[in-house]
Amino acid sequence: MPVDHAAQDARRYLVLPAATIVVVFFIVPVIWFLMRSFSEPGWGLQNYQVFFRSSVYARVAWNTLVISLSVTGACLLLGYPLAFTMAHVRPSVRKLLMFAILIPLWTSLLVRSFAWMVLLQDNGIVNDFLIWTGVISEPLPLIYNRTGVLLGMVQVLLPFMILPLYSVMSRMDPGLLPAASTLGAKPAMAFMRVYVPLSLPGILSGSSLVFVLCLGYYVTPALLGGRGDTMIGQLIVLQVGELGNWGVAAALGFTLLVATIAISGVIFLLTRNSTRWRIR
Amino acid sequence: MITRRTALKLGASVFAGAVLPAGVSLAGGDFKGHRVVYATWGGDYERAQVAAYCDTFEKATGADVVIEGPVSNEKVRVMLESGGADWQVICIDDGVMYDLGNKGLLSEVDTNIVDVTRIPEGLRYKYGVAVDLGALIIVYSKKTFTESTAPKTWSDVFDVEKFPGKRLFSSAPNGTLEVALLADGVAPNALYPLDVERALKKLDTIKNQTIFYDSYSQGQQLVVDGAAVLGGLFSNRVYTAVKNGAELGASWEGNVRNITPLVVPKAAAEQELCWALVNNMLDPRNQAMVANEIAVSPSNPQAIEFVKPELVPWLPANAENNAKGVTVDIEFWGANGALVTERWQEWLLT
Repeated sequence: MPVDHAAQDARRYLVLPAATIVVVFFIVPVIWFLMRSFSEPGWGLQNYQVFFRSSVYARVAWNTLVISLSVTGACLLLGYPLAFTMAHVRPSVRKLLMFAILIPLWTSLLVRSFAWMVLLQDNGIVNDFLIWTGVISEPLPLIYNRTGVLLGMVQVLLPFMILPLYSVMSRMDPGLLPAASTLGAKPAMAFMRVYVPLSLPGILSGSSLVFVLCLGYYVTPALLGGRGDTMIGQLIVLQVGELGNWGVAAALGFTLLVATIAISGVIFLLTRNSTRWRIR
Repeated sequence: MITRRTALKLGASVFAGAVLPAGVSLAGGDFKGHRVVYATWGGDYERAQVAAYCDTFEKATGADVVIEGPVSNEKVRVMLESGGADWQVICIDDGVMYDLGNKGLLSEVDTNIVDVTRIPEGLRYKYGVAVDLGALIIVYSKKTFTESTAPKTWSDVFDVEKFPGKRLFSSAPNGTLEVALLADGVAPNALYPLDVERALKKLDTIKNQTIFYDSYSQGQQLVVDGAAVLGGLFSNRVYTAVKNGAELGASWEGNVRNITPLVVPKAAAEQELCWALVNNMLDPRNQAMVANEIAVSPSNPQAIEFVKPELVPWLPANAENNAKGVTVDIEFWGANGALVTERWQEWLLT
């Protein structure tokens, strides 16, 4: 049967409403906002000079990168086994797990951050319990430092790692691991050489999703972090809200955008090459 | 999102109190059939303001006051900078008033309509008037300190040997730098222009003992839960916590007041009507109504005689507290805020 080109062409127009909304309400305003980094107060690169004027911007950029990478790594380590379990258990257990993973997404970010404060502070539930059981004698510093930020962000972002991983794993042929062992691979070998490479698309999309979401975070580091844990999102909010400095805010935003695209690109290239190597 | 101010306003709790009859003094005249849009911070703060300021105004003048909001600094900036003025009277942050006023986007206060003599000179500005005040005061846990061993001055708060324990301060430089200088012995009337490096050097001495909070609700929780045992917090936060049963003490020595101004955009329609509404908000009885509901301090000192007695010690506007405090210099922060904040952030990170 000949392919119906007319129907195919018509189908392309179905993307138009969504594309229009994205262009008009997202791309245009973003470009307009980012342009302000070059145009305020006068044309030029003066807003980008802040990076050289004070060490604060470089430090915060570094913080943002380190925290984002740590959170992404932790989410992968915690999320991978969970996604694996979900893909290979009975449907009833799977539904329960899915429900448990989605519950946090229904709760406000602010409420969750405050809940962490109740749990983690010096006389919070965790420290009280550990002292009561005699594991420690002095409260552990769990909050208002990097530990607090990482705990809070990992908990918030974990679903964004698990869901893409699960979606890839659930579509994988369950016969692959048994097949590998039939061919003589030990379980660990079969897992590393067959399962992990095939789940790479999930790892890739989960990691980039979590990483990119991390880069723009500001509520959690503000509430759970210490004075050394400022992230770039907080600086942008500060520049716009408190200082009315659109130019500098736009310069920070533009830098963040470029860095995000660059880092995502590098991750993409690295993972693509490693996929080829593994499968060969 | 949380701005510090929003958190402050939304968290102010309601205390049922005797609602006083509202006396409306007007220099504006009759506005029957006219409409004015007032934008404010939402929550309990908005409810209290609407009852005390807007409803009384409608009754007295026949004007129709439409409430919009909640205000956010970003929203106001975008609206005014793009030439809009859908909001005709706006309750805003002091720094934003200074900035937008300098950019030529706000009307000068019409003193023919607004009786500014009712509020202290330091609370009147070219492009706005203060409607209420807050004050950064010394707070301490009564579980850790007794009446006699409690910190009384900012120098005490900075003395880690005599007053051991975790401190708390705002993660914003406004106010925190002021109290550091007061602690270092700078006279209140010699605070401005702030010697930022001197303040930071003083803060270095408690840097590792201090938790810096990002919102006032967080600050309140820190001291109520005992994560910090002394430091600086806003007076109405301390009052709220004490009302709710927290064992906290306070000292007003060297309190640092900040203001919430009302402004009218230059592009707003019906300027006369706008300023008449502002004038109604300076009325002592109306201001007392708001204070009795949510414990913010009136800008009009006369309002204190209409405030519930148990609330009076907690108001920065009462004469005793007023004499012990200083008001944040909006001009200094407006002109230097960006660079000082940058230096402050740098200090926080190192």
